[in-house]
Amino acid sequence: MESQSGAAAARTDSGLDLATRIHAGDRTAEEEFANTYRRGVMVIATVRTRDREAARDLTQEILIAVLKALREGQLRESAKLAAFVQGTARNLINNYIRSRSRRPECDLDSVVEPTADPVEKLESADRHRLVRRELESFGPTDQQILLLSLVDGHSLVEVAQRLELSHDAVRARRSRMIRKITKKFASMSHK
Amino acid sequence: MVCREVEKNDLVAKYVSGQLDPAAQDDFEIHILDCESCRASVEILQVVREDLIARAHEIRAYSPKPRGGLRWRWVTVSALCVLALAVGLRQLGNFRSHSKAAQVQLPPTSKQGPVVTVEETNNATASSRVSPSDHQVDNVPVNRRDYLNFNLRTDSHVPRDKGHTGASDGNKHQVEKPAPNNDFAEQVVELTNQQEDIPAILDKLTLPRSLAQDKNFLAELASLKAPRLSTNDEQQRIADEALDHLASVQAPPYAFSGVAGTKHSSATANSVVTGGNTGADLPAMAQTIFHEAMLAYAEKRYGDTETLLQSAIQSAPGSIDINYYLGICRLLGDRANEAIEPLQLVLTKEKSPYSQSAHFYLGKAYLQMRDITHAQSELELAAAVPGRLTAEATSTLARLRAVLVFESEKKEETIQGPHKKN
Repeated sequence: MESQSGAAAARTDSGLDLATRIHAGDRTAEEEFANTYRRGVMVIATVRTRDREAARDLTQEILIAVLKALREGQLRESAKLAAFVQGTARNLINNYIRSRSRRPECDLDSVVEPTADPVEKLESADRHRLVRRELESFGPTDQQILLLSLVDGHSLVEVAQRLELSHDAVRARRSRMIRKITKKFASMSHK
Repeated sequence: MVCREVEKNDLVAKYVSGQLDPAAQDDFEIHILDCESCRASVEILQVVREDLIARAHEIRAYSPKPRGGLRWRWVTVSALCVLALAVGLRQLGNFRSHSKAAQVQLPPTSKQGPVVTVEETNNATASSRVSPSDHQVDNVPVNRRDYLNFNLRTDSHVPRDKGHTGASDGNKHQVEKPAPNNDFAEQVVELTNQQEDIPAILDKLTLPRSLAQDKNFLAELASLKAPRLSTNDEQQRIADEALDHLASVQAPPYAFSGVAGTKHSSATANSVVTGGNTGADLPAMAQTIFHEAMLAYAEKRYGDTETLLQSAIQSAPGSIDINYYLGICRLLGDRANEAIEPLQLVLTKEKSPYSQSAHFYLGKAYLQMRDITHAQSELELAAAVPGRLTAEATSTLARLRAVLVFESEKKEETIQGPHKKN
């Protein structure tokens, strides 16, 4: 954990450095910036929109918007690059969600399916397969705890009431499962 | 925010499920932009969430308060257990009464009705044989799964002894020693792996009439097979798609200087030279035709290019330029097997400027032919040479290895059978 905090501090320093270099017109710094923040922005966009395809497009949009701002020197406190990226992401995603709610529905046939990289699709399918296998190794009640809390958004108290279990038991079981899964699969995430 | 705080407050799960208030969400998002480990945790929980959504209906069916479906399921299972026990005891009784015989017949005499095979219901016949040494008291089936194991037989391990005829009702019965530690589901999957359809699988299972006609049981059998096949099919389709993608070929640029992208990038008709040897060795006729061919190539008329190159190669069969582009044109025309010979010929020349490209496109040709071993070795050779295609060859090779790992895991899983649910 300490090393992670250290890494975060180092990242902040590099964020400051990156913002300065991008403002100075360094193209390699822009590439470095995109490589550093692409995954994080993608995660944020996916969680907020619950739509991977939209999140992919939004990620590009967000990175371009931040880069433009950095080129123009709009970031006053360079040390807060991550906060600047997050703020931009939040605003653009909120705009997207608002516009999506206003957008009329259309027939599915008329929508062209985006062509994702097949190898990426394969890796993703493999990850899903392994995660499913792991989830299936949990008991039905454990899977229900995860479903009710992660998908339905119920609090642990509500989950405990529904499953007629104690709050502590639900909390312990959910923590144990999440810890087990993240420990096992976090290393499989995209590098 | 530090990772300890994230772990202590279960922030990853709360974030993924949308339970954080806006301020906490902003703080956490800033944190994951800088913290790789927390970001990876969020990514994996998102995958978990997607999987839970996909199986939500199935998971919700396991209600702590018994619902109709579940209650009936238990009733069915209990009834099957009782039935299996009764049939097993009856068979044991039959066995004891005929213990002196080397092989016995088992007439269905109990009140539970006759044990029949699906084949019997179809007026088919099957042979039966019971070896006394095979049947100990320990082998008496006590529940449905054991019962089914007890009666499970496949063509591969069931002796067809036509010398022993059936019982008093004329039917023939088969009793097989249960395989130790053999799971019914695994055996069904073994049958499904042989691409058997449900009726064929049922044919290979000796079942009581009630069970053979039990809709719940048939549905359960179908559910064992259907998701597995669809998953396998889907995975196979994805793997094939990935291999197709890796095998796809973009026409390499033709630089009229001879070595792609090294001298003159713009094409001028008078600057046509060939290969690394500037074409001095080419006969004038071959050189003219090659020039025409390359003009067609630049216009993406690969069929015309190939015809012209085939004509040019009559005058200069050893030309590396002609052979290289001939190989490329054939590869673009989806004739990978015909592309290999000219591309290999390019590699026979020492210090060929096309050396890396030839290895790379040979790799692609082998990939199109699904000759993975040769494809890998050619791509490795292309990746080992510094040049225009080094990065692409390395990337293709890495992706190919990923596909192979995926396929080998899939095969392994198919052999081992599906993961059992708790």
